[in-house]
Amino acid sequence: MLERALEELGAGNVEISERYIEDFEEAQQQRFLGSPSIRILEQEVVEGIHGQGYGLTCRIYHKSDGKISPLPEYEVLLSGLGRLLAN
Amino acid sequence: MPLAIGDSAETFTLPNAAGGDTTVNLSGHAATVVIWTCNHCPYALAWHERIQSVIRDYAAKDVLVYQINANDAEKYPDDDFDHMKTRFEAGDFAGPYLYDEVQDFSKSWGAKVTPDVFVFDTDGRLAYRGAPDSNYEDESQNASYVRDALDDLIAGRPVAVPETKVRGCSVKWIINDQPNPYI
Repeated sequence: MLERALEELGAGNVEISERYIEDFEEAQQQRFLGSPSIRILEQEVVEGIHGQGYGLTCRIYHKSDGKISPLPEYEVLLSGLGRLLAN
Repeated sequence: MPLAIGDSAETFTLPNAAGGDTTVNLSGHAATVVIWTCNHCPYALAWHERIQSVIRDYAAKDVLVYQINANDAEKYPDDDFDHMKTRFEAGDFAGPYLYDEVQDFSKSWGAKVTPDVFVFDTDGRLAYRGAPDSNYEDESQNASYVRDALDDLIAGRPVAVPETKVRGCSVKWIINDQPNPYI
């Protein structure tokens, strides 16, 4: 999904790297909202939910219809990537 | 060895978020369902209401459903027993919500993800294992894999589709010596 979104934005050459957060302390230090989180230069592509804490957890995304999802909606991902890539 | 279709499992006792301990006997009912789940996993949450509907819809058909959290609460504090009790007291669960804190049973059964569904027949033999349905995002799926398995067992038929591919977050092991759930 991420690769497809980058391609759609004409940024298919952007390098994607995976980073593993190993423990709670690292999660706190990195302000980790859960897995998967997508960042560009340490900026969250999709903003966290209000009140969402940092920790070693699976990340919850809220869809536009209010449902819970383990992944962001494609349009939200696309918008977030576009916003950060434009900066 | 993980449980395979046709296997039976021993009776076990675990703490119940409602209070006290609950003994799970997997035989003697039209079907007994065990679902490995947790508090924080978005897949478990996405499927949660569909599973509660199964519990309500099949309660009068002699089907018992146990939901069990086995996640490591030290690394994943949202999955600790206090959070389980809070959710239970808030009415989030239509049936017993148990805690496999030391992961004895989840590991010996071969539970892989949350949610991971095990359905046992009246003789206590595993008759279905897999996902609740084919799509966590589509509520209209209505936990159809589980319902189909239960309907087969209640009708006295073999389960037509005894296994499906699980989907969810991996069970959070205290000692992560388990295989990748998707291999």
